[in-house]
Amino acid sequence: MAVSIFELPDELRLTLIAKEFPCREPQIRALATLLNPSAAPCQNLVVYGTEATGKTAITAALLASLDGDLLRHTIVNSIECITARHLYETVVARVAAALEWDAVPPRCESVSQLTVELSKMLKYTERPEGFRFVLVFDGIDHQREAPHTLLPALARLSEIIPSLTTVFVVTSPPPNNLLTTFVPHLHFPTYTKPEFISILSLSPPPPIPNTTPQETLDLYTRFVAAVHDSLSRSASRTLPSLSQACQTLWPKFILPITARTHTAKEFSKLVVLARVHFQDESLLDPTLSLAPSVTTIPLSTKPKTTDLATLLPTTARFLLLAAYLASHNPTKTDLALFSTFHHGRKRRRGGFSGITGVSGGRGGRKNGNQHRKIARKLLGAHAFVLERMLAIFTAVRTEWDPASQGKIRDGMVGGEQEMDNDIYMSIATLASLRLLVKVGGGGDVCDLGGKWRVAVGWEVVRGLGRSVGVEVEEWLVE
Amino acid sequence: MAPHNTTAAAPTAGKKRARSQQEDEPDLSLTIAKKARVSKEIPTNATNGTKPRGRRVTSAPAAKANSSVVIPNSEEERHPHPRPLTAAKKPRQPSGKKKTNVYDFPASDEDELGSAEVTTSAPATKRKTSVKSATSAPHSGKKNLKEPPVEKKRRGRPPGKQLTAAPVPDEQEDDDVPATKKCSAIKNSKKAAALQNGNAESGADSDTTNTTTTSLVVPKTRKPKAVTSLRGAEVQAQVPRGILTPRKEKGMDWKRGKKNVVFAAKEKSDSEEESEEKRETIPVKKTRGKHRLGLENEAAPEAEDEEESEEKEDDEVCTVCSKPDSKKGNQILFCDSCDMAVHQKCYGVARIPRGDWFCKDCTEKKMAGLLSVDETAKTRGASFQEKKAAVVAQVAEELPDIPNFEQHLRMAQRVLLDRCAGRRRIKLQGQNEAYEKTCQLVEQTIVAGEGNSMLVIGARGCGKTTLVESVIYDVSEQHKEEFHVVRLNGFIHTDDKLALREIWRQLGKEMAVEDDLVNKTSNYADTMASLLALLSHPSEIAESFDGVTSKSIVFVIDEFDLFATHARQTLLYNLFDIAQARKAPIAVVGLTTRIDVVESLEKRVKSRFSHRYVYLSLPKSLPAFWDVCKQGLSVDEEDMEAEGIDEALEGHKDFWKWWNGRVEGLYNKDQRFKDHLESYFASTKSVSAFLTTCVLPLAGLLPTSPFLRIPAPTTAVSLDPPDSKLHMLESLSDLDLSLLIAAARLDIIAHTDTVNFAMAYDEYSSLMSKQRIQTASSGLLVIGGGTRVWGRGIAGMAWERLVALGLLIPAASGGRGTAGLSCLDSKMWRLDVALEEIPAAVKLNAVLARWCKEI
Repeated sequence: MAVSIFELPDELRLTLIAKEFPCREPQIRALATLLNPSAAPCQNLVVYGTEATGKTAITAALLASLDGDLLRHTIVNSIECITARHLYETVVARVAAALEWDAVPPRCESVSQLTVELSKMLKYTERPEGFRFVLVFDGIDHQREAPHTLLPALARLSEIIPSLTTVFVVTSPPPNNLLTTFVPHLHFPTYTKPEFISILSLSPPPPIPNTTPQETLDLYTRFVAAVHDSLSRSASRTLPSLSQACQTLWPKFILPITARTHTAKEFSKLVVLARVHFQDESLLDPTLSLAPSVTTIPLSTKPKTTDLATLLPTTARFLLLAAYLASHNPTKTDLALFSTFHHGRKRRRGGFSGITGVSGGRGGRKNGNQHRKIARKLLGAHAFVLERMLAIFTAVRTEWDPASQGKIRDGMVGGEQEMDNDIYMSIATLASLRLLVKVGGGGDVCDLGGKWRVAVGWEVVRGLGRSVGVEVEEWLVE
Repeated sequence: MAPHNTTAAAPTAGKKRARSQQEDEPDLSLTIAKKARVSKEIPTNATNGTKPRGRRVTSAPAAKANSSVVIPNSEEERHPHPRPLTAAKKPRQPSGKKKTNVYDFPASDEDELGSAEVTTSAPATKRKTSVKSATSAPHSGKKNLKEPPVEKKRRGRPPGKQLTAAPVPDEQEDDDVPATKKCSAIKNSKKAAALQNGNAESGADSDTTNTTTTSLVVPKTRKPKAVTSLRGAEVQAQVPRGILTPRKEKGMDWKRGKKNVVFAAKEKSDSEEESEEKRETIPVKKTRGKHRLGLENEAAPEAEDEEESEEKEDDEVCTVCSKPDSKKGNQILFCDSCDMAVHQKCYGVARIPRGDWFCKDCTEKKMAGLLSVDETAKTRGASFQEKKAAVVAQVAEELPDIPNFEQHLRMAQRVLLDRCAGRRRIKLQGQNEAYEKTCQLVEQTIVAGEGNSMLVIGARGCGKTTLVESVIYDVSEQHKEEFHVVRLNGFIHTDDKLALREIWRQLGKEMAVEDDLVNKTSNYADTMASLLALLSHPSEIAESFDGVTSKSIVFVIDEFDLFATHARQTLLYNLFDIAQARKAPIAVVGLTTRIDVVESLEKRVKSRFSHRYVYLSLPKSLPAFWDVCKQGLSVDEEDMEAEGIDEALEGHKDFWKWWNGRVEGLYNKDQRFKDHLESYFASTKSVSAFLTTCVLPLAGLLPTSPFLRIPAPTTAVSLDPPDSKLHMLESLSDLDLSLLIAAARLDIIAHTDTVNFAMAYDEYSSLMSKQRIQTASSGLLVIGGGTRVWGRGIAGMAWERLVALGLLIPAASGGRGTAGLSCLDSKMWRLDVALEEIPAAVKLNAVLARWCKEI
């Protein structure tokens, strides 16, 4: 048996990668040692860490630089694979591509077959001495429809095929999830504040006019620190969100400098001036702030209150409110709440706790010393029968919509009246908008016995109620 | 004598000797000198007082003194070779001092034990040690060469024996020799070293010898000031601080540095006393006469100049400017890791730091986690290039003098890393019975054609696979062509159909059954039938392949318990049936971790199983555990060839002797290593887990620093798996944590084990508003995000992040129909962390910490 000699990976490559990914040098070195065929290649390796810590990027960059005659690699992203079978087939296809292998099998249905195919390519084929193939499973912990033996089975691949190294990139590995003896785990910790700053200041913005690049860099460094403290540390601690916030804030921040009212040295004054921007939550919430285009039809389940209130027709709004009440009020209180037998409306026992004032009466109350009771509305919507919702609607509409009072007195909720003609139409609309959801499939929309659930939250409903002049709180039994 | 020394020598003495040896080989680090020395240097005499650590207390002082005297001679003789470089470079004073120290060291330890006198006296312990080594070197050089590792062993042990030997110089020398083996080795290696370093070369030898002689002189002359001055000169001539510096220690331990300093102080005092006594008694001339080297003259004049410096105990020389003087404001600093000595000004250290000070190299190394001089050299600024080169050279010289050292090291690394990474089998230890039993069974099947079945049961990592594979390997050596092996794994072959196909495939491959036969058996029944045909004796099924079944088949079924979960256990039934009914010579070996696996077999299957078991256990004691683990760190003699190590290469034996000595030294002497080992023994007993921790340290070894250090320094990357999800809490933002805490509070407050976002956000905002009221009432203006209430949108994102990280687990009934739709708000989640765990796992700010405490 020929003796191969131990060698550390090429220093130059590592330095390049370390430069590309600052603050990750220990991890890069360890990874290089554990993957390089001439160093200490391991059988299985788990790379873990929270998002945006460079796990995948560094692994990929390192493997790309090590790639050569003795090492081939491929990376399979589990998120791109819909089922486990899809994963197997992707793996086979990628490995074949990496090895320039011709005969790719059309199907690969099980781990067993995967093993066979990989063995054909890696085990039964002559490879140069010391050859290793690195197979990276990216995000394998998020694989959909994975059989429970998937991970242990994949971890066995390298036992069966000696020249294979499998790398699992995961967020947080459960203890011994590979069910094998011991696997090295490499942790990519979150960046610390100094690391954040040093990383971001590697790519400073173009110098501000009438300042030197050095001044700009200094200012930017301090600026990044300030953004980190005000936004990132407190709400969203990832590199992408921080860099995005910095990009967005920077032009606003240097506005006084470009306007020549301040110089780059007056950092604290600049911060004071930009304080408003620093407190802007929308910086961290790109869906709301950076794409402010008004959607004509609220497709999301949680559209903005204003949108719903303006977009829905009145009937639909009332129906939605009624649905909300049906969802959140227990059935037994219906009589007390909605009965119109006695003239006018009965005083509902609006079950609000003492702190009604605080933002819509949320917050529990204490039952003596015992456990606090959770506000019912916080627990989410319950299913209701459609008929009940319609009954509630009928009961309250006179009160909510005085305009319809006369018409109703005339007869049943009927076709030609302006507000009634489209009740079922409105229900269908609400259902298609997913504001009302049918529970337990099947059945017609008009089935009075069908069960429904409201899919909008309290905030939305309150706004909606106010848009038609109804304080929904008064109708809720707490 | 040698054995005595090794055993008897005080730990300190051992260390010092090691250092001295190292120094002799011109180490860059310039040795020990650490902070303590700096402090010492300022008040020269003060050091005596500082010595403290209890060593002085005991035994025979006289012997020590004698021994010290004697020793120098021997050491001087030995050392000459290594020193040349240092001597040439540096002023002699320091070297002379060192030499005296060298003498004393072995002696000094003894002295400390034996006599109060020792404790009181002279400062220059380091020098003494160096002297010893130097003196001893010439005589004992040969001996030294033989046993490099001995020194290490010495370190740990109690002092005393060396001193006793003192009266007879030769004996002492011998004693020293084993201790100083390195030195001797160095001597031998001089040539090699010379080759490496352009500096060393021809002039070196003469210089070294001279210096050694001078050093001898010094001790005697000490009492008179003139003598002392001479000493100083000598010291300078010898140059290398290195004598004292613990080369090996550098490699091994961070911590030892301090100890060395202490020892040095004591030793110094000891040495002074000794030197006084002895030197009085022993005429200087004698020593000089013995060592006739011409340098004495040179030393004397120099000595006068350096009288002042003499007082300073340390002979350390600045690496940059090569001057030994250390004044206030420009003191010599010693790196706490590598002992490199530099002037403050030369190295650009404005203020002396309070704690440990590390040179730039060591800082970098620490950062990088891996010790590699090369990297640092590359990255470093040009100004320090020279230093580094010098350092590297010194290190190289310290190394054992073994031909082809680098090649040996690389080969060893290859083999050991393969073992540690699990790519080469390690031998079973202490499982002989199990091995015999399995081996017998397999052989019976192959040789006698019996059908057999057996279960190997044991915890993960106890060696089941290793056992079976090594049995198969061994058996195949004798009966190579007589059997096939079919390997199945319960994780991969998840049902009987797949397993059957796999068996068929493996057999087809091995038996070279035609492809079309394999391909045409597309359905389960066909496969089964053909397999049975294949396995059955030809007499039973006439048409099937004649002769094929004359070969036996060994089925190795990994994760056997999973096969018992397959429907009706068809495969197991058939296999066991064949084995039992002697239809064909097959052996079924199941591997499993479940001890109750037989209970899960159906009755008909169970009745066909032979009920033979082999139980494997994890190592029961620490030594047994170490026996197994050791294979990852060293290679046995008999395995060399099998592992592909070239035994013919020159220096093979020396290297492995040296290497194994070091590994043994780790286990026997190094407390950190032992703690590390014990922690694995106590927690998992997992050999592979322990070996994995050795991978990075092993991979970090360089020919220039081949000293294994396990566990790796804490700054290095750990390969351990995380204990729990709690490690993720560190990466959470304050808002994430607030929501998490709010949700965890609800668990307790509302007595519910599931929460949804609405509840958590409600709790969060009520906590926040309370917090605001409090801060407002107390008049505090809260700055920053502390009491900032984030809106629902951002909080929702934070909540989703918690979900993505797996800190929130969907509670059972999310409601399928509504799943994707609504509801961030109302979907129920279970929390995967408890409230009390949060403050323990992450450092919280005051507000959050209070939320965790006050319910």
